Amino acid sequence: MIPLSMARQGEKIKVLGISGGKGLVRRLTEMGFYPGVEIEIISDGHAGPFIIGLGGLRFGIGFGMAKRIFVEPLG
Amino acid sequence: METKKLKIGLAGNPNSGKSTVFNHLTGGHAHVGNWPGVTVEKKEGKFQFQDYEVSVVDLPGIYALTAYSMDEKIARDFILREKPDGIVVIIDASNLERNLYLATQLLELGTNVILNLNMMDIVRNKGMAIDTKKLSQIFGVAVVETVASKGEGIEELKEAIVNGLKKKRDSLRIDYGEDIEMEIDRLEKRVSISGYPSRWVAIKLLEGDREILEMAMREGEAIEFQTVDSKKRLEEHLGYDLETALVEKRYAFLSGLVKESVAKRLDLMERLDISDRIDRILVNRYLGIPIFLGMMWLVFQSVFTLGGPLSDGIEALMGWLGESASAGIGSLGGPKWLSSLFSDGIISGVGSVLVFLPNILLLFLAIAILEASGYMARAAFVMDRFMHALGLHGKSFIPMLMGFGCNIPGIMAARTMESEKDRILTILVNPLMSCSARLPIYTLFAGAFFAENQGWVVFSLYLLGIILAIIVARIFKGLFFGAEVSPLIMELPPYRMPTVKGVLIHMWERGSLFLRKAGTIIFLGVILIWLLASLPFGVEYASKESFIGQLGSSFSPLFKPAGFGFWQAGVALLFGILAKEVVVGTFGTLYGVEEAGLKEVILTHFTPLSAYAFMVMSLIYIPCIAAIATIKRETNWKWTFLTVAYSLFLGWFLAVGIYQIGKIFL
Repeated sequence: MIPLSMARQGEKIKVLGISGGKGLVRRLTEMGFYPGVEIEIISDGHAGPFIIGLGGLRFGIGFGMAKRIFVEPLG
Repeated sequence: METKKLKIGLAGNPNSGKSTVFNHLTGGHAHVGNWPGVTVEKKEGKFQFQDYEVSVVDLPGIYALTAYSMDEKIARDFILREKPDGIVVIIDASNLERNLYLATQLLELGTNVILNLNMMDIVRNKGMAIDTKKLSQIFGVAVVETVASKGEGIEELKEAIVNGLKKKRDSLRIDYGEDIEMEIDRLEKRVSISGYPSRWVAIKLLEGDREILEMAMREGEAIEFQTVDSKKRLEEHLGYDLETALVEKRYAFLSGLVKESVAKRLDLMERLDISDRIDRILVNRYLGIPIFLGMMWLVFQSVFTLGGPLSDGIEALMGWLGESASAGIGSLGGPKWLSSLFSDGIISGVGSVLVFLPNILLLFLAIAILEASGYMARAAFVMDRFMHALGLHGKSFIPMLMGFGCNIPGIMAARTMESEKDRILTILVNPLMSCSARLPIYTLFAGAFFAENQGWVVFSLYLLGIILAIIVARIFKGLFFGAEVSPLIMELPPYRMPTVKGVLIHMWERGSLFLRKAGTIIFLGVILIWLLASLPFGVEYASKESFIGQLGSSFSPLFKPAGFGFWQAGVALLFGILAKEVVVGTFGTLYGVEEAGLKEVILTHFTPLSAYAFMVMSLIYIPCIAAIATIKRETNWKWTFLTVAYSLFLGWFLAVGIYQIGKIFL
């Protein structure tokens, strides 16, 4: 398990959990981030924004936020 | 024939094309205001169709109907409390599954809904087909296809709104699986809130919705205990969080539904490919920041270089109008105070409002283009880490940068920030960004006292402003907003070509808001200052004997420890509240010299040290009337007073500190 902020560009990962208040976890779930969902890293946020792909959608994630989402790299 | 009235709301995810649909429905004529108690924009418009007059309310872009986010709460309160005749849910048809989530929430609530599948052109381009009949059957509501960007299907949508909302239907039932259904059943039998479907109330209780729980408790019964009991039992059984389970069930339902109604599963790869490729360049790790800074430079240049001559033109026109008016009144034998009322009061008041308009419109034009193209959403992330380190939000970079040109557009640009806390914080420190109106003061004083190092002296003032903004932001954050930085996560729309119409409408909506709201306060402020400068009757305008002169003289001793305790400085600072550049002109009037001779006079009254202290004071103390009015417009009186108070205190404190400490060394 690693925080999302450590994932690299082009990597495919699976969401394991989110650390944060109930409101935040709920909001992310509504947006489609919940344990088990697979994500692709479009841009890995090193000196740039963190952009991830979730199905046909693209999300920008702040660096503070990326440290709170725990993921597992897939193969 | 009598017109019948209907009231509907437009709901939809961010980036579903909701504003475009709204503009087409209402022909772009919107009344822009705020939702009660909050500064989220509320747009209302109207259209006529057959014998109906339909008023349309644009709801904030949302993903669901919880009470967690302010936008979602606004939308929910509108639907539950204002009881509109129906809600049109705008859906990005190329992302059907995700966009339908909001629709299912409304349908579960039993709201009268019309589904509008927007962006059908993208769907068709991919050779896809959505079985709208089937969707309509499953949900039991009218489904209308549109391509809002081209105005396609808008008439059909109007027709559906007028005719399709009449039919009553049952709430949607999603099967949550045996275990959850059992608990829903149990709760459903025990609670009721009048006007709400009981199954929906039960589901909300299981989701842990505080607002619904409180409402249910008001209707009696120990429902809290019931709910906790049900939740515990379910979570033990499921092995994880119930809220997540409910959301997952809804997505599972939608996933099945989309499989049934979409002919070939939508392949977005091509559109995404282009967008991702652009992203790899625009927000790339090496080019991201340079490109962003380049864009900002362009925005800044176009706002102030293009806007500058326009503002100068308006100023010249107003000056000419004022002179002609006072000459005209004079030639007709009118009293002097009357001509002064027109030229120094009314016309200069209108002028002070209009002079900002070119900058504001250009700024909002630039922002509208950046937003519509999809770059704005990304820009926040480009600067996020850097701004984070300063204790601010990624998105506050643009307002702060704009502040160097003029604080008014800077403060208004903070509108693009979602989080209320970050927005207010950005507004509070914005006046510390040294605006271009303060430059004439620096030029005069630095030119007179520090001719050798003029550039460095002026630069040091800009830097001081930035450092203070960072410190003040940190302090206010700790004092008022808690130390936590609001997490930044946002959907990024694919890059699109902005449409001229959409961009212009957006620019005008925000620009006219400034005119109507801030304009009135600025105008009244200018008139008030005119009164103070002209009374008591018979005094020379803005002389030592006028109220403002007396006021300036009475508090000028306060500035003695800062090295400029003479009445002219006090009066100049007072007039500086009108507009910072007026400080220079006021010195000219008070010493009775033209601007060219001003340097000589200044040299005899100030020392280099007190000149520097005066420049620091000019940088920090009380923002100009227009900025104060804009802060009030964008926040409330409380934050406005705080800004005035902290800036006055901070300015005085630093001016005195610099003078006193400087005296020891010099």
